[in-house]
Amino acid sequence: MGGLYRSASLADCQDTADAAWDAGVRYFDTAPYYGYTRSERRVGAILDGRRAFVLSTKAGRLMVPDAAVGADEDGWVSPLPFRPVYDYSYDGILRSFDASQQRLGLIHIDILYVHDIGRLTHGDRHEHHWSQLTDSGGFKALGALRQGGQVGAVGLGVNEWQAVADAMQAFDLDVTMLAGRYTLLDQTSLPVLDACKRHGNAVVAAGVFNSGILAGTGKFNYRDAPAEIVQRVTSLQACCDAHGVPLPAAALQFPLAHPAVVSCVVGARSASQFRTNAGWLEQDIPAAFWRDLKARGLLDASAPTADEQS
Amino acid sequence: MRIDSHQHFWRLADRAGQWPPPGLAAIHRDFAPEDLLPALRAGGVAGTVVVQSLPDLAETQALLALADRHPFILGVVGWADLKAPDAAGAVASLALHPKLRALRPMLQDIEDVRWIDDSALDPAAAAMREHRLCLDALVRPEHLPGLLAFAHRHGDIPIVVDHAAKPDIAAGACDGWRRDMAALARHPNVRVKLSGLLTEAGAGAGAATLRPYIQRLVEWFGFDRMLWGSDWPVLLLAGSYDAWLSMCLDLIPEAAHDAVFAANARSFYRLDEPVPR
Repeated sequence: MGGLYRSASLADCQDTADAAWDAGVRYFDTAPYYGYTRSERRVGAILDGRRAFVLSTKAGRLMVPDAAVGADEDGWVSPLPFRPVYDYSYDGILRSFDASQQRLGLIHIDILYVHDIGRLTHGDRHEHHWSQLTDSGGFKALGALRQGGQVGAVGLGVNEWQAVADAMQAFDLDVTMLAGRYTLLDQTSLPVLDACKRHGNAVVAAGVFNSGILAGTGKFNYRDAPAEIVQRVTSLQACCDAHGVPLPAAALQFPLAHPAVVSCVVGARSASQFRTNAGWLEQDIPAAFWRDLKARGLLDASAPTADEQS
Repeated sequence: MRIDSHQHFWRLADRAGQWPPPGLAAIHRDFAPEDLLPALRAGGVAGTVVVQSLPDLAETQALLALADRHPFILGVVGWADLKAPDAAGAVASLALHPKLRALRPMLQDIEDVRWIDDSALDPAAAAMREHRLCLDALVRPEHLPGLLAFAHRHGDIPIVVDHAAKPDIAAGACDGWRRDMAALARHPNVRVKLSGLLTEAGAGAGAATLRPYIQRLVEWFGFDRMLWGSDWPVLLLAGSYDAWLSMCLDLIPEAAHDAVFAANARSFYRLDEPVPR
């Protein structure tokens, strides 16, 4: 709903949400950053009047009015005129939450994730932002929201597992959204997932198509896919073909086999795309497929797979 | 000056083979006041609350006798059979001792995890209320729902949860603990002891392991309802008195030190009141 790479009309968004709701989907995720606040507004409108859903949003970027915001920023097409400014401090988190409440039209938000904290996003500014979370009270703000009942659960929403490992040493996380790091192409986060399980930090798997390449587009980690990734995907596809399994179905179902993973979130820009996703989720995948993936060296041998569960 | 809200003394000869077993070598010996005094001095701890460790009236009486002889023992947490027919009388009798401040049924050792949620406790609870005795809850996470029911029923008996209800830090199982501790913390009369967590975390655990747990406890109870305790000598299974005290002093912000390391124990156990009510 934020308009990543292509814009989606409000009508399409309504249709997609209706299709998802009718199919039984009840967990919705957004962030102030998506579409530079457009996504939260749309999600708020769509959920208005509905009940018994779970909603997550994120904090860590304040969206500051800026008339200079152009037609294509950070991959967002036609974003709203608010520019993101990183602020993980106590005040920053609370102000972001306040603004989210207003945009979503909700005073209680089920899950609040600290958005994109970590070296991958911040490079050499990482220490500064990390210290905002720890010393300047960002985690304290999350705790206050949780304790005060405005938020049901808190955690991180990130693309890197290291930040999750570090955060678990500073704060009691309820739930974490980990994007792109537990997928058919990338199981480097396995040790952290085990730690999450032990600490009661529920994991929501996101970016399971690694920005699209596992669903048939050319994108990997928000960029055009490099040659070696394309090669790996070709090998994965070959294994899929041998067992009659659609690659996106395997990509969608794989993370759910890990005991730490409680949910999988997938974007969709149309009702038909949603229904395609749902079909992949329900696809029967033979046990032999997962065994073959491991035998071909295409999957970490210690990654839990559906064939191992009773 | 600091107060240690939770420590034990024992003599093996008096325990007739009961806990601790020989396998826990570090604590399978006698522990007397002279064994603790050096650590207290080094840590700036001026007084302690001694806590029972056997479901046995004789042990409580021995601890009360120790408290008579040693001024640093500011209060005693004793034991009585709270469901016995004469429980109210037994409680009243114990309460005659000027340093008895609380009772501790050893819930973690009782097979029925809901033992504490029972109207049969009403006479004992009434006696505790009359003599202004607190309840020390020696519990694991599975006992918390029962304790919550007791807290509902007897809202004016001050309760402290020993060792933060012993979350299984080493294994990391958390959800029931979180849910039930959050619920307990909503009772203004429930406090938590910052004690025993190193023992739950296991050998080699450091501040990083405990920080998220302590952070959560502070979130639920605030610094005003947290009491520091050593759980010495059981602590020796996991680390030294000094190491545990230093770790806690680091993990708790300085502005809260007086509360957590002294004032909260003093007010919860009414340690400044020299004579019985």
